[in-house]
Amino acid sequence: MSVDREPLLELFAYETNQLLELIEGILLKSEQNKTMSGDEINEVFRAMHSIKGSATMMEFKNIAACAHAAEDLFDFIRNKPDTDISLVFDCLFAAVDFMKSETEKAMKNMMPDGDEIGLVNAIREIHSELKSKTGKDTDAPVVRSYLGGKKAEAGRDEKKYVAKVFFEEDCQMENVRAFSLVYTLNNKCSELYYYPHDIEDDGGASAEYIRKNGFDIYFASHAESGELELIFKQTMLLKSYEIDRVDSFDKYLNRAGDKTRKQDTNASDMNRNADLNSFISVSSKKLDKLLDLVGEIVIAESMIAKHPDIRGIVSESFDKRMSHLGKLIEELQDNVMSIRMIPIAETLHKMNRIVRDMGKKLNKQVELIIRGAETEIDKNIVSTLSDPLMHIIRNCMDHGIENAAERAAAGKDRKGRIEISAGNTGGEVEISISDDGRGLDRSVIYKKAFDTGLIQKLESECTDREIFSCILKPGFSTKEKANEFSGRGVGLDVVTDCISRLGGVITIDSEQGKGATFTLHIPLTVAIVDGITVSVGESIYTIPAMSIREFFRPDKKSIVVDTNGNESVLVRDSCIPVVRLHNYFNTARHGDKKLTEGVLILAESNNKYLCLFADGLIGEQYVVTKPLPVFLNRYEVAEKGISGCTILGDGSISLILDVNSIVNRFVN
Amino acid sequence: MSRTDFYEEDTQACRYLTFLVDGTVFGIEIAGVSEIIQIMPITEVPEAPPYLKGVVNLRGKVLPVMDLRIKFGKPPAEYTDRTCIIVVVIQGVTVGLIVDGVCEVVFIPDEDIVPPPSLKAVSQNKYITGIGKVGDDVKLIVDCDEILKEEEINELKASDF
Repeated sequence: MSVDREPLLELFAYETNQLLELIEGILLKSEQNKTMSGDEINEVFRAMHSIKGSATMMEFKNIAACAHAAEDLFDFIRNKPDTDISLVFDCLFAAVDFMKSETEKAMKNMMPDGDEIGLVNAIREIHSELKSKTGKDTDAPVVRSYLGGKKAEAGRDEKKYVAKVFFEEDCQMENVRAFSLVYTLNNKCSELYYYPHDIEDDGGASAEYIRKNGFDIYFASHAESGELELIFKQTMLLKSYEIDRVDSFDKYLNRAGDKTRKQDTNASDMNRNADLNSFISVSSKKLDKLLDLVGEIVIAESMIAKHPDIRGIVSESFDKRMSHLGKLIEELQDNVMSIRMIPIAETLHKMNRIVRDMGKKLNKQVELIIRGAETEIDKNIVSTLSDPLMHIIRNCMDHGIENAAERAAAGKDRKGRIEISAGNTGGEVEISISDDGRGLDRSVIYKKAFDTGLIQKLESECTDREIFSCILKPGFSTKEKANEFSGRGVGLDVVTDCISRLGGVITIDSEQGKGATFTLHIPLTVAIVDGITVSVGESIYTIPAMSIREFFRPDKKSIVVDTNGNESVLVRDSCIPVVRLHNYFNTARHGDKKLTEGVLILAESNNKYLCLFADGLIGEQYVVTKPLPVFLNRYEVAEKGISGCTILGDGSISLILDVNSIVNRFVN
Repeated sequence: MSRTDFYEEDTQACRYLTFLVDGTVFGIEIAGVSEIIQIMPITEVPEAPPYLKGVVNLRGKVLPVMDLRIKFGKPPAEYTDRTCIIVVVIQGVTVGLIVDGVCEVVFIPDEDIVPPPSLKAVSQNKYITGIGKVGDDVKLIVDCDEILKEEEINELKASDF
């Protein structure tokens, strides 16, 4: 694939994914409501049409073919609003999935080569089935009209009107008032034209025209004329209006010539336009760059403030100005960080699809309730959250929610409920997923955990959370047989893995027979880490505070050296191996320092402990993490336990240790 | 470079940035050079070969730097005020090259560049794509792509331990 195609490809993937999300959302909603409004049908039609267009441009023939078939189907449906649409969903979901996976292939620079023929045929089959059901032959050429749904409900008994409207003198902003009138009228009309046409734009000119010549509206409606008059009467600051019924208003339209525009605005369109106007999409690279620059400014400021010459200045007004600058920079930094935050809505709404698909397969009726979808979280985190959420939802669907008969016997509503709620709590986001299913069986889990050695305490000594957390361990499943969705014992450990990589924690609460709640606590951003900086020779390393249990300087008696020269240290009766960071990284050349002269850092990862030996502690600070340059990937830097780096206040670079990987290297 | 030259078409063709490494003048094509900065504090990176000195903070970007002295098999030297980092972008990868000092930008037409002698077993030769003549001087033209080649890494890895 040539290089110059890449930006196009990125745009294609972005747009297509957005459109597919939109389609999926509409389909899910319509399936639930068992009906589709004209607007929704149009929306799907248009989205499919756009996908077809851009896929053809990119020469992704299979995506285009698939979208084309779906587009045809919707073209048919929107011209026959009374079609039974319940047939189309399964097939369309499959089509959406297909297009999604093909787009993903394209993003990975592979040619989307999936076989679309089966899908296209299935869509066509439904298409012809629907055709035969409606009885009439619809192969007659269909006039494509973006008035769509409106056209369909219009028809025989509609009447055409011409109206001229004058507003009160001095009422100002005539164009806006005209627009609001058009907007109200539009709900009653199948066709609507007006002149002057540019009332939506900031128009001194159109307001001026309306003030002098009045505002002309031509519309067709099947509403009673009394009803229409009422709309005019209720319009604010209307001075006078005349409505005439006509047989055709074509001549008026001709008079207005090309200045007249078909008015196809409806409520959802307008909202979307407003949304589009208040959002811009920017490449995240640009944002990262901005963030980098702001980080630079912060460092530059501290370098200036700490400059020896400047420190010598004794001046109150200078200090004031410096602190003002500092505040502004801080505000700037906060703002830039906030740009990276996006609402979690999209990820949560994806879960609808999983609930639907699994519900069909497992024959369970489940309602998904989503709260707090507007909660904002760092963009990078949002994308990694969807996997763990999916596993939890699957688990709820499969293990948690009982089948309808069982539920009825337990006196519950036959329809299950899963609720996802997200919210901000201080520096973190809390997402809880609860179901009203059978809940976790404490004793069964305990037994299994005890048998496999995960728990060694007596059952009575364990807290609920301790026992429940066992189900998050790899390979743990109380289910006898695996099915398509879960039971293999993989799944929930993926959740733990993902969440801990994000620096979050997960807790489980449950009451038997009433349901279970999984709660995820996730830091707002991965870009910033609470780090402890330590000195090792001439280097400064940053260790995430999360994985540090304590620091101490050992006394001579607690140090143990085995026959191979491996050092360990006794900490409260357990013997913990010591790793000298000097030797480990082979960068500093002071390997023979006594353990009693430096500082030991007790680090933990998954209940495994290791002591890291450094020369001294420097301090604790929140640092912005940056990945190591790509160039270094060819060396085993990451394998050695460096997860990234950060720029310290004085402009120097400190490497961030990946405690998990270091601990795993040394401790079994 | 005169001002008018600057606006000529193809201003970067046949232009070489010359620099010093252990007393020898080398040149690299100007097209790959993005900037020249003064030497700055370097953070060592574990597991990297000796010539890869570590990373520096280039206005918020983390830039790997390699010492061409060590890369070319010359004895290492203390960094001085003259020591520079030439920031080059090669195939999308940004790397800093530490050199003893930069000299100038020279124009060497293709016909003034002769291929290097094809000697076996002289390892430093592999980085030299040609020898450019400027007046009475010769400049060794360095191939940046070759500097970043991976095969070198394995060799050094083996000698490391």
